[in-house]
This record gives sequence, C-alpha cells and structure tokens, in this order.
Amino acid sequence: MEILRCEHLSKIYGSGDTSVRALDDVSFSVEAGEFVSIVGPSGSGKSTLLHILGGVDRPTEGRVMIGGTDIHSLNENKLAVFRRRQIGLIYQFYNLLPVLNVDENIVLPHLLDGRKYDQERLDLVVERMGLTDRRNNLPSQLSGGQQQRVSIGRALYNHPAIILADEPTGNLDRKNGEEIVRLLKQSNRSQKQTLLIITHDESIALQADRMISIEDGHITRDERIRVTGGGM
Amino acid sequence: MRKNVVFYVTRQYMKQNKGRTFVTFIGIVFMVILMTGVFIGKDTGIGYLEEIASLKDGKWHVSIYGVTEEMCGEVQSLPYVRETARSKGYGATEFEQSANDERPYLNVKAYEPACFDWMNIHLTEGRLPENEQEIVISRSAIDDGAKIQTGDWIDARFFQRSITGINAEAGGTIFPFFGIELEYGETKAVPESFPYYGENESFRENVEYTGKTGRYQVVGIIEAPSYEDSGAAGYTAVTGLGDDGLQITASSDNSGTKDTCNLTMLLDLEVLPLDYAMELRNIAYGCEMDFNDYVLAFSANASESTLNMVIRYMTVVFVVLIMGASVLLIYNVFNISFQERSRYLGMLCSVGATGRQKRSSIYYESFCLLIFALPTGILGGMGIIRLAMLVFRPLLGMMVGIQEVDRLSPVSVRISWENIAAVILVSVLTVLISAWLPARKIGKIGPIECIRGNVEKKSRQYAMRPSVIRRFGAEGMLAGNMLTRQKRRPRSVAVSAAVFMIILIVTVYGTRTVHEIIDVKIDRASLDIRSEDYDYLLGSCGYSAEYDALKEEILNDPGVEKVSEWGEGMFTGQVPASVYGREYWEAVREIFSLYYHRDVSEEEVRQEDMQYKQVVNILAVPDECLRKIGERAGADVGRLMDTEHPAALVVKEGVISTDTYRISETEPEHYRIFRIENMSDLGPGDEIPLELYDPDQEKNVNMPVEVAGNISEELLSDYVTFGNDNQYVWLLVNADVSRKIARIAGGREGTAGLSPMLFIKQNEEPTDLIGRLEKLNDREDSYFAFARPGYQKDLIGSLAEIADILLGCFVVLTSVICLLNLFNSIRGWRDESRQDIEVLYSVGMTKEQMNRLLLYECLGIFLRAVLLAGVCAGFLYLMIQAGVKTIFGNLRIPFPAAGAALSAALAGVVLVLITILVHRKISF
Repeated sequence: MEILRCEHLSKIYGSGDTSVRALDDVSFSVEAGEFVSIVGPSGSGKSTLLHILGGVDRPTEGRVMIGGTDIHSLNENKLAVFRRRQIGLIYQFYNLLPVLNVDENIVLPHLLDGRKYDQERLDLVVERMGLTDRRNNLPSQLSGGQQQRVSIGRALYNHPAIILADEPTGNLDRKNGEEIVRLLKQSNRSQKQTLLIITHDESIALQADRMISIEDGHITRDERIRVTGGGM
Repeated sequence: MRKNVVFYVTRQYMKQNKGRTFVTFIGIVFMVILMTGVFIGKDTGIGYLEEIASLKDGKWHVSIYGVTEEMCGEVQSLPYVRETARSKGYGATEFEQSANDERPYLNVKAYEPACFDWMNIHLTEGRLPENEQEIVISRSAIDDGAKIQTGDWIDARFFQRSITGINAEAGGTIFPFFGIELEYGETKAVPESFPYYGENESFRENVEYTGKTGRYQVVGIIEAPSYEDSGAAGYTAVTGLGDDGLQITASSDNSGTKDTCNLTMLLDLEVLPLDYAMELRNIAYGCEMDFNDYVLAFSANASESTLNMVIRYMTVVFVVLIMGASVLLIYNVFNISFQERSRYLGMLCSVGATGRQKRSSIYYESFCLLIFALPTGILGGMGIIRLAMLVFRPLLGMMVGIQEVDRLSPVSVRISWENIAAVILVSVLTVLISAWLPARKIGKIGPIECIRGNVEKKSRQYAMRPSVIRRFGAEGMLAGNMLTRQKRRPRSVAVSAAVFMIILIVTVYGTRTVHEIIDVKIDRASLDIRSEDYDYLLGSCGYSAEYDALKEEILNDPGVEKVSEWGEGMFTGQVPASVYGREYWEAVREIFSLYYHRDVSEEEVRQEDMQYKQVVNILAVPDECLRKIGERAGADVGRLMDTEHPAALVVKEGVISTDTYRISETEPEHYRIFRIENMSDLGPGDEIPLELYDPDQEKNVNMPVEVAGNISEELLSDYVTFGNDNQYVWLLVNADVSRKIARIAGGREGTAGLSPMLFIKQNEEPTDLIGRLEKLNDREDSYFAFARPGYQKDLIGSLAEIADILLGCFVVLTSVICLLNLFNSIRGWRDESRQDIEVLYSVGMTKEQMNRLLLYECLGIFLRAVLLAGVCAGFLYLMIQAGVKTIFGNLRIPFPAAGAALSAALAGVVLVLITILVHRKISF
C-alpha cells in the first residue's frame, strides 16, 4: 500500500539571478513499511526533500501525498497537527528541547496533541532506547548517542505513519551510529513503520530496502535493494 | 598584525551583533542625556527660573536695611558676597504736580547704579539718573494725571510721616495692614506705603522735616516698581546715590536709624554656605533683612532651608535612579550575551588569553560604547534642555505668577566645566559598575566550559511534573520548565521588567514625597472652604450692622441665585488645657524636647504651658450643611442644631510641628511634624467650658458648649479642608450659635470674634452687584474683601508643578532606558529560544499553542518581576521614608499602592507586547 507519494516537487530558494533550485521535478512514492535510504553529495537537496516530506518546509511546485492527504494543501495549524500525529522527525543534531528531560522530550508531540501520555508506553520506549537511568536528565547532561536515542524515542512514541531521519548518525561515532540504525530498523520491522533515512554512510544506506540517489536536486537513481519487509 | 587581538575580536563581535550593540549604545546615550539633564539642565532651568523670578521683585538676593559703614564693610568682605550696592530712602516730599488727592507725596529713594538693574527699574521713557541731581518718577503718577514730564524740575524738602490720635471718644484706631494701634494722644511713625487719609476725626497726620532738601531734574519715567503700593500716599521717585547722599545723617531709611544706608547684594551661589543667612543676621544684628526667596529658592539657597532640602533631595534621587536604571541596562546586556561571549572568549582563552584579557574585553566593549555615547549624549542632552526650556518658557513664567517672560533674553544652556565633568564622571562610574560584575564572572570561567557553553550546568535531576501537564498542558509544562530550568534568560527579562516597575513606583512615591514635603513645610491657608459651586466670596471683619445690611442687599439682588454663609473664628475661644487630649500634649512634650535639646518631662510641659488657657477656633457652618456633616459623623444632629443650648462638632485631627509651635529664643534640634489623630479626648455629651473675650466688658464670658460629636477631616473634606498648620481644636457650630458667639466676641461694633464669609452664586439675570462689590473692595476704608474664591498660585504651587514636570520628564526618559533594557532582554531571550521554537514547530506545535506558551512564559516572568519589584520597591520605600523622616520629620506618605498596581499592569502589558513583537519578527 502506498503511504507516501511526491509529484513533481521543486524547491527554489531566492529569486532572480541569485535563485537556487534545490529540488527539480522530484517524483517518487513509498510503500507502507518500506525502509528507504536517500543518498547524495552535500548540497544535492536531500535535506530539503526531507523537510518538504516532513511538512516543515513547503515546495515551490508539486505536491506531497501522505496517506492520501496532500499535506501542503493543509493550513499551518492542520499541517502542525498532521506532523505531530503522522510524522516522526529525527535530525542530525537531535533538536531536543534543552529545558525538557528525557521523558518530557519523548512525550512532547503527544502532549502537544492535548492527550494524556501513556506511562507504560513511555516506560517501554525509554527502556527500548536504553535510557532508563537517564530519564530525569536534561539533554545537556546526555552524550550525543543518548540524545539521538531520545530523539528517536520522541519520533516513535506517537506511532507515526512515517519516520524521516536526516543524517541521524552524522554526529555520532561508529558504535553509537550502529546502535541508532539498529533501533530504527527494529522499529521499522516490528512496528511496520515507514522509514526514510538520509545518510552519507553507504553501509547504512545499503541496509535499506530501497536506495534513492539525488544529485543537484534530481533523482539520479532509485534502486530496490531487497524486497520490502525482508530482513538482513 | 593586530595590536590587541582581544579588542579586535570584541569589535568584530560588536559588529556581528549590531542590533544589540545599537540598543545598548542608545541606552547609554539616554543615560548621558539624563545625567546632562540633571547636572546641566538643573543649572540652566534654575538660572532661567531665577531670571523669571527676578522679574517679580528684581534679581537682588539679600537686602539689609539700616546698616552702618562697619556692617557694610564686614558684609562686603564675605567670600560669598559677589557684589553689593547701596541705597537710601530719603523719605517723602510734597508732590505739587500730583493730580490724585490721595497721593500727594513722592517717596524718594537714592540708588547706586547697580540697584536700578537689581530692583527691576524699567524705563518707559527718558533715561536713568546719572547723578544726585537727576530723578526718575513712577509711571503711576503720570497715569493718575500728574502734570510732570522729563526735563521738569522738582524741589524737595524731605520729611518723615507720623500720625497722632486726636479723638478721645473714638478710642484707639487700628491699622491691621500696617500693624499700628493708635491710642488717643499717641503719635506713631508710619511707613511709606501708609495711605494718605487727609483730615479725619480719628487721627492727624504729621510731617517731621529731616533737614534734607534737594532740587532734581526729571530725566525719565519708570514703570511702577514692584514695591510701590498703589494705596500709598506717595509715588515712587528714584535718584542717583553718590557720596553726598551717603554722608547725610538724617533718619531717612527704613530702619529709622541714623548714619546708615540699605545694602543690597548679589551672592555667589556656587560657594554659598548653608548657614549664610545666620551669618548675615549676626553681622547686621538688629537690622531688618529681606531675602528674595523667589530668586533664591530655585538655586536651593532660599532662606527657608526646606526649599533647599527639597531641591537637593530631588537632585540626589534623580541621579541615584538614573544610575540604577542604567547600571541594570548595561549589566543586563552583558549578562544576556554571556553565553555567546563566553564562547569566543573561551576560544581566545584556549589559545592563551588570560582572565585579565577576558575581563578587558567586557570593559573595552562598554567603554567603546561610552566614548561615542558621551559626546552624543551631552550634545543631545543640551539640545533637549534647550528645546524643553523653549517649550516650558511661558509655562515657567505662569508657574511663578509672572507673565512678562517676553522681556527675558532667549534661553541659553548654562554649561560649566564642573557640570560636564560631573556628567562624565558619573557616566563612567555607571558603566564601570555595570561592566564589573559580568567581567568578573567571565574572567573566572575556563576555556572548556566556555566552548561547551555549559558554564552553569549542574548534574541535577529534573523529574517530570504530571500535575503541571494535567493542569496547563504541554504549553504550561514547557513554560514552567523554561522559566525554572533555564533561569538566566528569563531572569534578565524579569529583572528588566522589575526595574521598569521599580522606577515607576519609586518615581510615583518620590512625586508624592516631594509634594508632601512642599505641602507640610510651607504655610498654606489654615482653612479652605470648598466653594466650587460659587462664583464670588465676600469676606467681612465681623458680623457688623454694615455686613448684615450688605448681606440683605445681596440676598435680594435678582442676579444672585444662592448664597452660603460661613464664619471663621480663629483664636475666638479659650478653653482649659484639659480640652486638648493626651496625644496633643505628648506631641507638645516632644516639641519641647526638641527645642530644649533634652527629654522634657510631662510635668515640665504642665508647668510651662498646661496651666494656661488654650485657644480654640470656631467655624460657623450653614445649617443645611452642618446637618449633613453631623449625619455623616454620626453625631447627635438634634443637639448640634439646637438653637437654645450651644453644641458643637469637634474636628478630630490637628497638626503641630516645630515650625507652628515655636518656643522663642531657641532653635529646635530638627524639624518635626506631628499629626494628631485626636486633638481632644472629649466625646459626645461632654461639655467644653468655652470662654469668649468680650471686648466691651474687657473680660472673658463663659459660654459652655456641649460636644455633639467628633468628625474626621476626611469626612469633612467635601465641605472644608484644614491647612497643615492647623494646630488648634476646631469647633463646628450652627448659624444661631455662631451669632451668639459673634455677639459676645464681636463687641459692640461686631467687628471682631467671627469673620463671616458669604459665598455668592450668580444667575443669568443682569446685575451691577458685582461691580458695586468690587468698588467696595477697592475702597481703602472697606471692612470687606470681595474676590473670586479659589486657589491662588504661590511659590509653593509653582515648586510643586515644577517638581511634577521634572519628575514627569524623568519618568519618560528613564522609562525609555527601561524599555530599551526590556526590549534588549526580550530580544536576547527570544533569540536564544529561536532553535527551541523551530524544534517545537517541527514536532507539531501550532501557532495558537505557541502564543499560549508565550503568554504562559510572560506570565511567569511577570510574576517573578512583580515579586522582585515588590521586594526592591518595598526596600527603597522604607529607605526613602526613613531618610525623609530623618530630614523632614515624621511625614506620612503611604505606599503608592494604586501607582504600584498601575506600574505593574503597565509593565505586564509592555512585556507581552514586546515579546509578541520580537517573537513575530524572529518567527517570520
């Protein structure tokens, strides 16, 4: 079942002579539960694509359909609600709120939705992320790997339809990086969550079901590495 | 290569943060402007006010009458006496050219050249006298039709005037305006302002020739000098004073002593000691002395020391508040940018920069800004002073009751090196204090802490608070955590908001304090009857037959809508000391202690004062009014309105101070005022053994009065207010009782005891009543005074208004600093929150939620600011009150709760508005 489809996405920054075309007529679709890696050199438009898919940026042209909804046709408020319910975003620099402890950062999107958090689920996520003994710490009191695990916990807690990860291991050492990828894959498999990951690391990209290569805002290659749902 | 890489990096940092640097710069500029306003503006304003005030009575500072040559020499040798000029009063001479029968004389004075300028002698034609044979004459003589012009000659034979009582049957004659009581057969000298009565049955006017004669040519006509009384028997004429004039030995000056002259002087106000008045009095012992308080008051050198104190007090308060606000502004800026700054300084530190170099970065930045802010601020301040003076010019004239400000030269800013130095010194000091704390802090932290930016991180645990989430949602949790876990950012904002509130609260309190000081220290009308509903007031010396006739005429006049008759009896009654209560006598005992510089016992007070009868004042109130007042006081109205058995309502409060309760030949330790809550301990049903002096029988007559009730000044305030010198018990009585009192105390003529006041309200009917009453008022022999009721502006009113304007300007300018401070803090806070906002949006926060979060945060910051402001303002309030009490006595200045609430509300609104504004700018 198709969960995500983008059609003729273009993104132009600036105007006139100084304008930069970050994305140029990008179209592809992703099946539910699929693990897709997006690779490409720096400045190729990977992060722009991810931000547009995550609804934090808007395309200049084209549309993004998630679960049949054209997310950019939604107004700011509806898009925000859609984002917190359907999308889990993971960034290279974790983007945690420095004033919230581990637990609070994890349940934040849920709380923003005005819902009561489920303590059992929180305990489960914290445990899965290996943060049980750090749950009352602020991000500044955590290592990079721990912070990224909080960030993943936050993305997973709400059972989003899609998880979008932007270089999640880019700021981590190999051991921590592998651990993060393991957690993401585990979630992809056990929860059947769709996972799109941007990475420079070829070994991580090759663990995906499908790999999309981008250069200068164009998709240059879209190859299936293994059948969806297949294990390594 | 750069000579100093730390300074270079600091400059680059300043360039990168242009917005914040600019706002800080503007803040420092405003501080310098305010300091310039305080130091240079004060001098300019006071100088200008002196010039305006000099239009009233002249620019002289002190005049001493009847001084000897020795005294002159001694006064002239004083270091603070800048210039002196002598004058003499030659006395009166016949003025044959006069066309006014009531003004048949010329009062001739001789001035040294400087006196013409100092005494405001303004020519309307001709020129001023250049020698002792030339004279100028008052324009009032010409206006009255005197046949004289420039070029004419006047032959003078000077004399002194006196009067002798000639009517044995009429008894004594009183001249209340001149303080003369003349008995039959008695001869008394009269001053030059004494009117000419011609032939009359009561007294005869005598002239005693002094032996001085002169022949003077009229060389000019002058405007009537301020000291010329239009009711005086003589017009003013002034001639030149030379050695010949000074050598005369006739008793012709004001003091009446021989071989003397009058010495007028300008003082050097810069070096004037506090006790100069005392020193002058000691030198010219026994001589009459005048201080031109109008001029001196504005340079804080008035003979009345309280005015000096008010001006000095205000100057100190202004400087301290400006410094306080500025220190917080600059400190806050450095504190806000602490983290960013610590990073680049940490990098420098990691390559070998020492703590001193790090500190120097902060000092360098602050002094870089100051070096440009100083000239900008001083020049800007001067511009603002000049502009303000131009705007205020007519207003200042109005304040001191002088309209002729057009005569003054254009306003010029008074710049002195001392004042410029003071501005620079205080500004540098302010910046130094502001930069010192952050510099000290940043000098101590190590490179790793700096670079990692976790200077203040502690490894403590932060538990989730489900109750907060349940009650306030995610926004409440976020706001709470942002305020409690990230203290530095919101703390800066809270401090800025608190400073804003503190400045407003303290200024409101300062304004009230200054008003109170002015109010209690300066004599005001003892009694003020609320007369807004009435157009005119007719006052009479007593309930005489003439008054009754006049009242009847007024009542019957078709142009009169209504009248209201009150009666004032100051010192009318006497009572035993026991009528005055314990609280009153305790205050008297303390005043005795202050005067005798020791703890005086109750027994001593009893011996010295309590054995005598005490004064009570009577206020006759219109019946209808008294009934309402009685009801309001909960008094026995039936008894109060009883026409057979006198009863009175006793006013509870009173005020005595070391000024109003004076003990002669000694000075109190310091000024002190006592507000008495209960002047008398008598209550309803008690009897006051009132005694009234019957001038016909020449003895006291008993008239016991029952207390119908007691009333507070507050309950009375809709009808009547009492002055701050109200040191006696007031008895409010009805119209019939007042008539009874008037019959006894007023004597046969009815011209003493109680003074009726008839308030008149006109209707639309045309009538000549007002014209007739005005003419009656103008008559010299009139026992009536007719005027519009209401507040008359005086020096004190002017001072209060000037204080208001200055405090208003101060609030505006200081508020600008505070607002800049607040803006800077909020911008710093929101700038640092930028990434958090992006994260929150990315995890699905809506704009409404963001706005709610902002409001929660503002609310938290506001509450913190209120708490801080409450503590600081409370502390300042206690400090100021203690200081004011020490200096001025126990003034009662309540905490300005309404002003504080308003300040807090204002600060809250400003906080929210700026936050929303800055947030929108950052978000979009």
